[in-house]
Amino acid sequence: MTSSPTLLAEEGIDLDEAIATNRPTRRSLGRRLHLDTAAVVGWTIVIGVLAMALLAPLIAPFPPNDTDLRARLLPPGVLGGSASHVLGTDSLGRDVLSRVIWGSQLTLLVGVTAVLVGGLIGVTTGVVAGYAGGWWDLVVGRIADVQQAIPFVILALAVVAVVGASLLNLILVLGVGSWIFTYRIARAESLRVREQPYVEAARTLGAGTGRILRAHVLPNIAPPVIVVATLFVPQVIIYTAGLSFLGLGVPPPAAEWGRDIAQASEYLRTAPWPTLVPSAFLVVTVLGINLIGDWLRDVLDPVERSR
Amino acid sequence: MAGYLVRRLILSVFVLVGVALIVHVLVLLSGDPARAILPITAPPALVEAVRHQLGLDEPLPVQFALFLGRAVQGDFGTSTRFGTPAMAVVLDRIPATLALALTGLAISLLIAIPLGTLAALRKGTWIDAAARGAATAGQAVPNFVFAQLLILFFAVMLRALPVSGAGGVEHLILPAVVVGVASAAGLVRVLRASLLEVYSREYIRTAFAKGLTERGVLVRHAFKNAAIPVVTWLAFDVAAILSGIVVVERVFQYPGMGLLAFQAIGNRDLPIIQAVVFVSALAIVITNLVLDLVYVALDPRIRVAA
Repeated sequence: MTSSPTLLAEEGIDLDEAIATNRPTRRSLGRRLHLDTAAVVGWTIVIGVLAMALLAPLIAPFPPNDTDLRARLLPPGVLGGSASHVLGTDSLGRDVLSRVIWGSQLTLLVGVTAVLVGGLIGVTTGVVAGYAGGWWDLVVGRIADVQQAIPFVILALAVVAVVGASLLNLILVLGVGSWIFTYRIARAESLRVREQPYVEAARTLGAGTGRILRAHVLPNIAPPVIVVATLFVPQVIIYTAGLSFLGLGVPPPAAEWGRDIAQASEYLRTAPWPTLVPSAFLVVTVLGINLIGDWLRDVLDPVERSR
Repeated sequence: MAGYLVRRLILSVFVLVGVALIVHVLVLLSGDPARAILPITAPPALVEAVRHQLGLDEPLPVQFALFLGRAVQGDFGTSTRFGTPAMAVVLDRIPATLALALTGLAISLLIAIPLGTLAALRKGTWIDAAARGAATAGQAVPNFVFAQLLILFFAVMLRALPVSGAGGVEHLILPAVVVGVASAAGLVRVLRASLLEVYSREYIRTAFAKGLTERGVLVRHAFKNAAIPVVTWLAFDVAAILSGIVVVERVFQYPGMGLLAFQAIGNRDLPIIQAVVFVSALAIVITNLVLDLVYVALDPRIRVAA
């Protein structure tokens, strides 16, 4: 915390200069993007998982659906299993490591697509609704109210019960299901910022709506919106896996972490490995994205960081 | 202020009509209900008769009005699996789910409020680091994974708690812990961030300057102002808790509304699914009305603007 202007004045320091230098300045990009340990861990995890997903055909030791009924539910190689199945096999004798590597593709693809779609819709509708208000706010708000009144998984259950489980349906359900989260916070924060003195001042000075949104509303709503969006990126990935876990996602035999966890959990007591391995990959991936989210928040909110 | 609340009440009714519309569209998308009821060999005349009886030959708005009329009375048709009114089947399961939700929420608040407050007040210390670490870890573990780990540890290794079914309090513990921890992980972060934001404000500095103790500032100024984002977050979390409960009930075979809905998919038991969608929407609408009252109490700007 810096000293108050009065104290500075008492010490003979020029007040205007003090205020000028006390203003949050734009740091050089290099400094702003400074990585702390957690961010390095997060990026390493996420880049690793992305590489795994992209290189799956090259690095997976077996095809994901190669069954071997003579080698069912093997423990990992180091725990007395077969040396060729490093992380063991599942109930159909499929190589767990290969399933996990291939499974990352669907989990990430679905999660990321859904978040992008939902976030874009949410911020756009939310900022306009919060700042401009009027009929737009009313209409979008009521649509959001209706949708928000239905718990996401229950909505997904209802939709899948009718239209069936498929990759496209899963992405659509997740994408349309996730816009509200960014919409709500973007709207609430825009409402708050709209009433702030600096926005009133800008309005009084004749700034147009576009300029106020860009220069005052967006930068000031960004930190909380990003926190919420960050909370929601991994959330969508978890929901992706969760819906697959419930059998609402991609139909078998496609490799997907959530579905593999559900299928293997039948054998949890006797053979926990096929459950634990994809679970661990899911947890670590989500953790990695969470760490990047925390870092992004710090980078985008230098005032918060300097506190 | 009364006008504000009346408006919210009208909106709640509107929301429920909207939910009914969505549910009705789902039914329309699912194909011809008359053919679903009748055997494949039914003669066309019989199909037409049933369609007429169900009002399916009416224009769509009329069909929706008829559907809405039945929905208001809690009539979503007969469960194809149980052969009894769908609403009665769902109502039977509500106490179990309500017990799970409330216990989960209580666990969440008991963990998150002390932890989030401590983390904010002791920002940068090991307490803060531990609380944030726990929250980060909690958010990284999906409820179904956490549930499997609890089953593996408490039920298989320790043999201390039952892993599935319902009955006494012991059947509630593991599912409620999963629901509560998932909620608490988010709540700790929101509360901490919200309190830190409040503590950076000048009125807090003023409060300290006029001699209030740390406790006084926290209770009289910080909590009240930090509560608004937390309440917003809780409004979402109720839906998230209900979502999580579907998964948790499935994992623990806990016989609530969520497990019922999950099993209804396999049977394409649409009346059950409709009733579950409606009941959960009703629960959320009621919660939101309560939270509206909290907003009014917390934020004078909302009171004045309304």
